[in-house]
Amino acid sequence: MEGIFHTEKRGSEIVLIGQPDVKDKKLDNKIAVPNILSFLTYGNWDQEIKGLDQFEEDLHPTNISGLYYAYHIMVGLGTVFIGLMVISLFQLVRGKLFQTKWILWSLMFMMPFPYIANTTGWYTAELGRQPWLVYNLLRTSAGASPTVSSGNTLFTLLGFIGLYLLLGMLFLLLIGKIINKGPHHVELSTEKI
Amino acid sequence: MEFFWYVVLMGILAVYLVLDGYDFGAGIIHLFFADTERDKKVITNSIGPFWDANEVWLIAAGGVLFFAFPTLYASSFSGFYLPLIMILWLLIFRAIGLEMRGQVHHPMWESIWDKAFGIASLLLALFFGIALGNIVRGVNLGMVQNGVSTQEAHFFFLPLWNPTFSPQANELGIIDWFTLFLGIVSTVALTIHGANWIIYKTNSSLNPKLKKVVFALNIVLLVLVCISLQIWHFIEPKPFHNFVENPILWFFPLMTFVGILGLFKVRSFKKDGHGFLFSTLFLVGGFASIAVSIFPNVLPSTNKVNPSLTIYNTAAHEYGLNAGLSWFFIALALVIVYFIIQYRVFSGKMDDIGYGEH
Repeated sequence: MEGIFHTEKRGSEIVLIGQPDVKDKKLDNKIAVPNILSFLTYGNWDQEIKGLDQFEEDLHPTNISGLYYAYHIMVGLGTVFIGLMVISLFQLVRGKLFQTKWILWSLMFMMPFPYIANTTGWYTAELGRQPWLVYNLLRTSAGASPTVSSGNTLFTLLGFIGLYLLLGMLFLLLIGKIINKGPHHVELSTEKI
Repeated sequence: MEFFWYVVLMGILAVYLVLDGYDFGAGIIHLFFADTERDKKVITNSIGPFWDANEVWLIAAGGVLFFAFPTLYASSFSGFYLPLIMILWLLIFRAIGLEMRGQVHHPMWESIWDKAFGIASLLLALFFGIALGNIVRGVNLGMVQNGVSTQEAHFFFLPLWNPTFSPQANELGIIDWFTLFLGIVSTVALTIHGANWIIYKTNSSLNPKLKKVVFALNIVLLVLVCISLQIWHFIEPKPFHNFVENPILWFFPLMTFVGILGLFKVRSFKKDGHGFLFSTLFLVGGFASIAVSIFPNVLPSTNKVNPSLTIYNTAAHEYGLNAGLSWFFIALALVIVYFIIQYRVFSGKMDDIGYGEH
């Protein structure tokens, strides 16, 4: 999740950006702040955090890089949201939010990102749980139905993809309609304060 | 303790059948009899505030099944994988049909969602009857071939149909002439039930016509029920053994026939709610009679090698069943409160509540 392949004795850093290289067990091009992760996890700057090397190979998540990216996208976006909201609130209290154009523009373009953050958060939970279906109790491979063939599951998967595609298009259509209609009774003020 | 949870599960399913049954039925009436915009509005208004709450009972049934009879849950959700997913798709289509219709005012848009809602309702009524048929008929547990199980004793998988459509073939399918017959019975019964609900909850211009429809369909239903009793004997050699041992259980078949005979007087009822009452008696009585006739089996085996799934060999551990009790009563109390509030708020005729309008 945090891309820690090796255990660091003197506290772990938090990685902002970096590309996991699962085969060589390292992060490429990383930008990291030292000791923050230990503090966030244990409230202690020097606490040791177990890296992946502390766990048996067959207990590793099956998709380490997918998990790493899903988690970082979620947390990264979340941090951006919090930051932007704090700035917006600050400007709102000062009564200047509706005059600060760059904040309004950024808020408008933030529209799709909560959806992405939600989805990647879900991926984090599901990928991070692997190879367990119920942690320490039931393996994913043991939870599959022995009698349902992969052809049947592919059929239903395709069905759901089609259904969600349809629902997605309906969503865009109806949201577009609402946006087109615009807000009620708002007079755009042009005067500068 | 198993028996307690069995009664709870069957009770929840019966409530689901009665409640979601009327909104499936209303959907079928909507598909075949509602021609004017006004009638369509009135029908969707009459089920609008209820249908999604009604479907919660299906989820409750799934929850109790998962918790109290996990082996049955695992077995049937694997074995009936395809039809269950299709039922899910139909439920989704029905819901978006209801909710999307009022969003855009265009004749094409409205007619697409009207059809989605109506056809999904019709197919759901049919599918639930077919599901009941599958449970009465039983399945090839353990997928026995030439006297040898190819899977663990409680596993099976059914394709949608086999080429012969026979309930007695070696390779069974979900749809055969027996299950299809029960599907038609349930479709007719739920159509009557839905029509009664509309008569009860609205003053629509359709009501006099719907009373005639109920009367006509009731004749069909009576004939179908008599035939199904006959072929039921053919599928299950001793369908009445539980009734013979416990004569008090004849109450349920009696209830069914009171319901069906009462409905013949539909045109002379003083109160609009009476028809709904009688179709409820029919549905609950019929469902309970079927459950009683296969008890203690919940999924009979069609082969000699593996035993049928009963409430005893599929139940969860005693500790779990006891622990669930307290939570169950809390949830039940919440549900009852919610149910009373909901039906109070939306009591009386509902022609003009304007459901789903924008």
